[in-house]
Amino acid sequence: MYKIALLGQPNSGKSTVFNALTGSRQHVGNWPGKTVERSEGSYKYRKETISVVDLPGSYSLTADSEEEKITRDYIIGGNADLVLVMADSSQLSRSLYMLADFSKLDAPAILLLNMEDIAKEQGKTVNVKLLESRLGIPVLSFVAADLKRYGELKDKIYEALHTVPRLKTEKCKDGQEFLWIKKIMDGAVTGTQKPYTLSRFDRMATGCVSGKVFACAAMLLAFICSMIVALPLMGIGAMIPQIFTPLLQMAMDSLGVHSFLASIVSVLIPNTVYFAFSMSGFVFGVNFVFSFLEDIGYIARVAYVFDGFMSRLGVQGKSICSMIMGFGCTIGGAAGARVIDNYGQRLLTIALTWAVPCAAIWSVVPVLAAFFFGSGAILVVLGILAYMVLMIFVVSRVFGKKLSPTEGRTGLIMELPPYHKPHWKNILYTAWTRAVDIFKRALRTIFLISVILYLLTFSVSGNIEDSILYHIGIFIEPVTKFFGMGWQTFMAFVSSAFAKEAVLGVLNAVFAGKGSLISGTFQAKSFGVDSSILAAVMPTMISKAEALAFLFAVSFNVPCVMALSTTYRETHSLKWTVRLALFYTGSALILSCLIYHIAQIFM
Amino acid sequence: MNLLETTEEKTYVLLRTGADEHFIRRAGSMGLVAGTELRIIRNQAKMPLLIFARDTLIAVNRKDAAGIEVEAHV
Repeated sequence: MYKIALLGQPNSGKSTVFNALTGSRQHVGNWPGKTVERSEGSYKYRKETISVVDLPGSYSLTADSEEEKITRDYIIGGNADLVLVMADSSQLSRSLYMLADFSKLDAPAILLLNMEDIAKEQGKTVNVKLLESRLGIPVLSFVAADLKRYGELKDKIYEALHTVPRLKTEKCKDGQEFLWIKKIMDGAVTGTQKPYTLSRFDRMATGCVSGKVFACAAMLLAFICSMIVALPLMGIGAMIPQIFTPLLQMAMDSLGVHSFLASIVSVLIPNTVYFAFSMSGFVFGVNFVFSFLEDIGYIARVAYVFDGFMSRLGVQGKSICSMIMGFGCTIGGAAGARVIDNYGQRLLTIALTWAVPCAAIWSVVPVLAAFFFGSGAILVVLGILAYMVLMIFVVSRVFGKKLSPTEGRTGLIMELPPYHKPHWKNILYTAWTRAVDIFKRALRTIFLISVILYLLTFSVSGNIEDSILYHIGIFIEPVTKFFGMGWQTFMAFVSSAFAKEAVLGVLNAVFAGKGSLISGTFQAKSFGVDSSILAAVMPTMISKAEALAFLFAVSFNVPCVMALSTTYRETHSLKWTVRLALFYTGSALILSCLIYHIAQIFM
Repeated sequence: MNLLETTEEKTYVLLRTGADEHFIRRAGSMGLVAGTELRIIRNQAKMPLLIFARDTLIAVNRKDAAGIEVEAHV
């Protein structure tokens, strides 16, 4: 088996090439002991299996950052049989910097000149033969987003793996990179670009106020579009429990299966499939829209206008996309964080996105707040928004140092790629493979967590008082009371980690006696909840102080199991997913405790 | 003069990219080294500068831009 490595600066199209070469045969993990992503995949060509490693995105090989050190060590260590060095044809004099740096190491290589189409649009032609003769390695002019071109690339790679071509130029000296490039490029590029001016649209998109307003509007529109793309898939998913739960229940009853097994088959399995289906539907929608925005070059503008504000939180301007998306759905926010090229900052962005209450919370909290506080519910909502801002800063302080070390933050110096037409096929392909991938993984994770919750909420009689969760709730009530929650609200708090909609379902089961704890938890999302009795009963049974504490605790609790699963998928770090989950659960309990005891003084 | 003192639509030549080694290397990898010709595309208060150099539109935040010395291109 041969091993090739992809090397290129951000925006060189490295990930597009990696995805197109490996398709679904890829594995994403971390470099041993590092918070740096390692993507590896493979493809078959002429009966040979060729493994592809996507080296971490870096601007050079100077070993300035962890990413650069890993990349440099990997090449020097002779781990790859061939390195595919990528450059941008439309900005050749700048983007050959990586090749200049690479010439200091000694490894077999091919030079891939991506964005041939954009260079042509700009009236530039690159003399590939001349470059080849000067460099002594194969050079291929390429369009990474054009899937039809990959046969040619695979041919070149195959040949190079057998001929082992190495640069024949002299090694570039430190600090002389652009002199080296000038020599290589001399006479190899014809045609010059017209003087650059900002278009009217770009003037608005990069304006101090107009840029921010437009970016927020674009993100909200992106969320709506993601939902439109996702809705048909989510709709099909929602039909699964509605159709199969009654049918399976009937089948189980007629077979006389024990109620424990019967509800696993009729309730748990259809709902697990539904949750995984709707989750991957949403991930498909988000990836489709974000890939589109990134492909046309707009995401870089968002990074530009929000950089000043977001850099104070230790993340990039792009992170705002995930956080705005988080208002709609935390899954979308976590999936959208993929556009952030630095692994630590991506993880921090997801951690910050968890602090943004999602649409499901906004559908539950105002309803419950109105039961207790009437028109004062608006103050509760404003309080939650204010706390969200505080929580974002707290999360940034707690995790920022580790995930985005201050010494590694290079201020903003980034390229704003030119706008170009979207490559639909590539966008669809990327969104689809990610959605399928997340469906497979989510099914396992959700099922596992569902079984645990199911075991806790199951009772033979169907009465809540016979469930394990009830007994645990009663047993630890003296403790949960300290945190401001009685056993009923604590149960709803625990189940909110499964799905935020479950809060109403569980409260309905414990206060209004409507349905079992299992159906309240698992079916609130698919069947909805009638909360009319709850409105009358709940305020008579729990105090306003407890209600307020509970509302805040639910809003800032760990997000739903699907968001957890997406976080794990995107960060591929169980350690960090668990660490964040424990932090959010703990901080929600402390918050609840503080609010309860303070509110008791006034209410 | 430093980059903040430049005028939009004018062309300059880069003299120095500041004192921070890390930033110098990063700017260098983006094509910003002594002798590079650059055109100021956008220089508005409170926003990163937009410059065009080596066929690339580059954003540089104001703090770092203050350390980049340039002279007018003649």
